[in-house]
Amino acid sequence: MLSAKASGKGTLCDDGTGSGDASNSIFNSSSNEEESVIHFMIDITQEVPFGRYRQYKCKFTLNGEKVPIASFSFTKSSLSSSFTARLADLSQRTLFDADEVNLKFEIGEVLLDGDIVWRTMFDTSRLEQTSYSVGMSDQSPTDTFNFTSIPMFADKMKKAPINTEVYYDPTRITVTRDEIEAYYDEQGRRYLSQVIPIAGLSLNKLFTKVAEQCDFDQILTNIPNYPLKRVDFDITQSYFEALKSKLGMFDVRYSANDDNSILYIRNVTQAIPSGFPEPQELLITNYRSLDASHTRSNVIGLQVQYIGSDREAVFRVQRFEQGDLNDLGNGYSEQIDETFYDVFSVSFPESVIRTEPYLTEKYLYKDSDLVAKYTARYTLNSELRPTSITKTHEAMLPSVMSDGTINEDLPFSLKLYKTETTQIKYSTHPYISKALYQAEVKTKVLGLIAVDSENKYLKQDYKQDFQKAHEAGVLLDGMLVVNDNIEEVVVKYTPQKNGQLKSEIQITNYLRDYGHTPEATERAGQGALSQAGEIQQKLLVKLDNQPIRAGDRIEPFNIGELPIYLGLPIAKQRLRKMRFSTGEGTADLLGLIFDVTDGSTLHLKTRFGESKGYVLVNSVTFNGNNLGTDQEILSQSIQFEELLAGTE
Amino acid sequence: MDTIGGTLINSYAGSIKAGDNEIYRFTMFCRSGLELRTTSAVSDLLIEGRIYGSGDAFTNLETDGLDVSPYNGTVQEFEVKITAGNVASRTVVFDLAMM
Repeated sequence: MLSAKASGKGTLCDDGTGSGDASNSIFNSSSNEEESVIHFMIDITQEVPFGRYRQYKCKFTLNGEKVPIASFSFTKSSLSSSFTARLADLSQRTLFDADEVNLKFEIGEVLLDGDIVWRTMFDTSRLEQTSYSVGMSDQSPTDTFNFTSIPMFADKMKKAPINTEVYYDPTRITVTRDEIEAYYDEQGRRYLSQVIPIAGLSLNKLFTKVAEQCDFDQILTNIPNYPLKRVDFDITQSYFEALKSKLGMFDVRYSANDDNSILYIRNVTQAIPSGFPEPQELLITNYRSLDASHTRSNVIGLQVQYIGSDREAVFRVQRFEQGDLNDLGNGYSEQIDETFYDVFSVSFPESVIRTEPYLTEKYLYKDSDLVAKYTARYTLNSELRPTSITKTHEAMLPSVMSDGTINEDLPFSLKLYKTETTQIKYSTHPYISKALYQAEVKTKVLGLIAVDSENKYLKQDYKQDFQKAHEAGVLLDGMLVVNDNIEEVVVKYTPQKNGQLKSEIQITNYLRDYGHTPEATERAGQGALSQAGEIQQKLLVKLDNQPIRAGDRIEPFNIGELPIYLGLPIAKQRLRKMRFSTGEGTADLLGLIFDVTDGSTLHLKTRFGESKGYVLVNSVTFNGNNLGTDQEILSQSIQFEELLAGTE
Repeated sequence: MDTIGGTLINSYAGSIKAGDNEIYRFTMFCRSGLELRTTSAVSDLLIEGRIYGSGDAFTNLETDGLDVSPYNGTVQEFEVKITAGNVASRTVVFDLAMM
């Protein structure tokens, strides 16, 4: 487009590089002294789009024989792929009736000199479906024969065990073969399950096992390793599905390399380590169209559910709560003051794992006079569990003289009438690893006893609980009051295999000098008053310290066996992704770019080189239409999701 | 040669790929007190100039202008580098003159 209206002896040479001597010389404009103006008219042009002049061919082979196809669609996504095509020559549909139908598909790039470089998209696959339709339209037949096949790679992921296999860590749990159901077939043959102990069973070991069984050389992942208690491989489930079930709490994408020897398991909310392919650039010259959409959610927090062990090292913080004076009516008012220990785990010192009472004091007033008082004081062991509880009861009761006799002329006074002392012994649970249970709870009650020597019972002085006798109205002036044992209750618990607790109670009644053991009873339940070991715990995770407003949502997020110190950062990343970007989109590429496949990370660029961030391709589709005609066209489109900064 | 109001006008039409640049050479008579510059603002093109063979840095002819006083009374050969911006295809017109 070079033209010059030149006057004079200008020479035109254009190389466009702009270096000194080889520049454009327009004209020799002024050999005279007249002023002159140079008028420029510059066209700014765009680069010729990439791929417009490239040509592709495709080749489809069935059992070694070339079969022309009229159109095809080949989609690869997250380890499963499918290939659907329409035959160009209907008479070849009989080839698909063979017992073994092995399909191979190649795409070739036609070079400038006419050579074709073929690239195999898949070379073994399993025929899944065929469909044959006959019809007419406008007096010409519209017969078609379509078929769908699944490349063999996808079958790798469907491999399942022959017998049920259970891997478990014997240092953490016990599994016996009897617990697992055996299968029988119609001839009565039994298929036993295999129970395999692996000390230190972990996620990495699970990966190794799956890689072996599914014929991968390697599994590369950015998921952190953590211990597993048990992994079941059932015959109705593929190895891969068993693996997926352990990864439910991660945002995982699966992909493989070209020859399907390496499986990539990628948690998209975490940064990827080396070993994964580097991001490729996708420029505006590489695609015909791009659609990207974003969804923002109103999720403000995640409630993380995890299995914590509260038998770890703990420390406590004392907390005192003073109660308010509550009016109970009729002149009575009550106040309850409590002191607690908030127990924190050393490995996770930000949340209270439980609260233990330390001291409870209850005051009852009538018209501002103290008429009753109750205190309960707890003693905790080094694991901060109660081992003894002392409860004292005081109330306004009839006065007792120094010789121990009741004097009805004296006013009532506040006196300590009962003390209960409880001792708790713990044992390790025989069936639940690392769990404790309360094995024995012994309560001794000591207090004031009214002795009635006038109304004897079977020739013995009749002893009654002083406070209860006062309530019953049977105290008499001059009756003797002593301080002695009232009763003792011992409860022994024994855990059963079926999760129930057997309890045996023995009561000794000192007032009547006899002991009583009711029949041992079985009760459902894990433990007596408090249980130790592994318990389900919940933690609220938010991204910042914002309060929760109306319209915000909190979603539950179960991390299973993942330890909380690994699960917390994962929960935060997931929350960030949910809240700020669930971006996804599609792009139609110009030409075929074989390096862009499912699992590829792309750096998207739009006009003027503007970066649109990093995306992960989740599926890629190759389409071919009007094959064999002069309107033949092969195209490629991708579907992707956005990656958060730092995870590309 | 075209003139407008007695002033000689030379015109040139060319094309430059977006983001690319081209260099053109021409000669002009220099007078003291004048500078080579564009006659008005130019969008989407960067126009720079220098004395051909001087090895000086290019001067922005739109904003600064190239002072030709040292060459008073002589005809000098100039180099003008035009860089196209990364914009969609369009045609830009402008004038260079001694002002």
